[in-house]
Amino acid sequence: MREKMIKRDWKSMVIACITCCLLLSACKKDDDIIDENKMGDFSIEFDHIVGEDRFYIDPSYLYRNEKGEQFSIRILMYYISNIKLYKADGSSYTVPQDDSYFLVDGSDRSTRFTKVKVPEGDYTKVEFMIGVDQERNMMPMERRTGVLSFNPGEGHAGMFWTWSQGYIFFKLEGNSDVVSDDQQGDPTGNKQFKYHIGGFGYPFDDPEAMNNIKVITVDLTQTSGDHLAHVREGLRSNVHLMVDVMQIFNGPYKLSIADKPNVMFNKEDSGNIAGNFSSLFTHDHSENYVRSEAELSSN
Amino acid sequence: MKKIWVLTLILGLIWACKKGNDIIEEEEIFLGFVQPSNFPKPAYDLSRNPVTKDGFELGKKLFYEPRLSRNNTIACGSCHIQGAGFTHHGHDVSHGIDDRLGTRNPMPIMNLAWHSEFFWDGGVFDLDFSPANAIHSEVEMDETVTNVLLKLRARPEYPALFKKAFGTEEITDVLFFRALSQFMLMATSSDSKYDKVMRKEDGASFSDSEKRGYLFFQNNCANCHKEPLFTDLSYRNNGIRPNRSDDKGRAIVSGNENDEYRFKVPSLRNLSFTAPYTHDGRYLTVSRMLDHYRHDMVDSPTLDPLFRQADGTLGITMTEQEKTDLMAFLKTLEDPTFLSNKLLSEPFGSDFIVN
Repeated sequence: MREKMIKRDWKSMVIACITCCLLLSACKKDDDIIDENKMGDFSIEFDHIVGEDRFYIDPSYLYRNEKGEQFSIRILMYYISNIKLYKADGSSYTVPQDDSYFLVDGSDRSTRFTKVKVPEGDYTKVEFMIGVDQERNMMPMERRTGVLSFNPGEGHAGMFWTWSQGYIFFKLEGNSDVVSDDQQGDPTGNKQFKYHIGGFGYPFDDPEAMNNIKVITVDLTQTSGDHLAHVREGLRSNVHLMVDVMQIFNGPYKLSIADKPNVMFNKEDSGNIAGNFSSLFTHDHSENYVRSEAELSSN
Repeated sequence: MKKIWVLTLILGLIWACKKGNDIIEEEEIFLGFVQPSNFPKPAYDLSRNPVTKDGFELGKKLFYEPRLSRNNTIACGSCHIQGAGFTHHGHDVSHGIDDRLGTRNPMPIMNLAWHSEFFWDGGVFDLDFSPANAIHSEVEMDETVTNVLLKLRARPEYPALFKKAFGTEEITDVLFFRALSQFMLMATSSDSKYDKVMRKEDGASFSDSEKRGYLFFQNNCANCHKEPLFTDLSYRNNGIRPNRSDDKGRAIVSGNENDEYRFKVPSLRNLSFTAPYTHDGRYLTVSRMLDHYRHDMVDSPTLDPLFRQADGTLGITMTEQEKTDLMAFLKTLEDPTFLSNKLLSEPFGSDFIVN
């Protein structure tokens, strides 16, 4: 009799438990109904590495490229713009263009996030541009705010060609002993290499015009586990990319610092380097339902 | 004795009144941007940046402000001298900071409201951005716009001037460039004898020699030096032998080898004052420039086809008489009022010294 009582109690407890669980999960589901009218925080994180080494702006830290050339890095800067997110059903959201320009500076960790507002949703793919689109490159001064301006403290910090007007999309400068001291290398004798990549296809009526605008697409479904971008109001979703700067040298185009220590306005050379851009970015993981940036920084 | 004092007082009051009137008149004189009746519509969108007296005055101060250069020695007005049609008189190539030399002759600040591309290679396609080219050039001002803004912010007089011109003390790139554009937009040269003849003003008419010169001009020069700006704003190779710097002109900007050695067709207005000539200032006189077209053209794949004559020779055939007449006509493009217009002159008491 006593045993039976216990048995019944056990049964009822199991039922109660299951009911509770069901109720709870129902509640949770209720909370997670996606409302596309609500906006959540979304960012892409550009986390720099150099091959299998950490990224340092340090003249004494030497990297070695596939050609066996040793180099250090002094400047790494690039524009990220025109961010667009896709869902599994193929629908997409384009971040309003005015809010979609970012200047990532390797020497300033706070610039590594491109922070935007995006409607709630589970996004499977993100897209962004390295550089600044044609339209913005043609816009009058007042449409070039923030990182696109000359203004102290917020502007483009020299990422702009003033003599052949247009933004520099990507800048990598450093030092390497393989750079010659003559006019072809660095006549100052400081062994500097400089890669300034830009060109938005102007003049537009000239099919020969330099155009190095590159759009990068990152498929979030290819990373094992759930690494989609789950954007929810009041929370932050962060797509964490590793940016392997070594790919500028070791991408499909093998860049030799000794052969090409300065690339700026040579269409062929800059086109080759821009062709390596897509190899730089790999999706490492995504961080979802993040409450504060401190949570991201600890990762 | 007392009477004399009273008289003096009255005279003084009258004089004070008169002065007051003068000031009011001066205020009224500022007309803003004026469209010459014989010119086309400006390329610059003035609705975006309407020229106001205070905006223009700020622009003028900035134009003559040496703080736009790294070591505060070179102003825009250093190489764009009003008396020389806003070019650098006597210098083949621009003579900038630390006595560094550029590779090109400075183009005039004149009638830029009608241009949509700037400099010899057209590398800048917005008037607002054109000052940034000179400021950032290592051989001109060797500064950055960002640092210029910091320098201006640190000066006591500028926040008030920006406030007066644009309603805010905040000195931003947009307002800085707008003010400079307002100054440049006002640099209109449209009162030459040629203009007066075209507008049938003041009974102006060409002499016989000028008439013959104008006819010759229309038949041989006007394709490129198109009226009334006296440039069609295109880029052409006019057979100038490349110099040792081998400046490839427009091709540097476009990356297109078909553009090699093409340079913007310069205006011929105020020609007498803008010597020397060509993109590298190699020819010292108008006469020598014309002789280039008669004798010295160099063939190259991008030479403008207009210079290829049916008999295989290059250039423009011109008799001595035709040349004399043409030069007489070109003199009618002189606009002395532009060269001495006080409105555009360096303000008295500025700390800028013309080199």
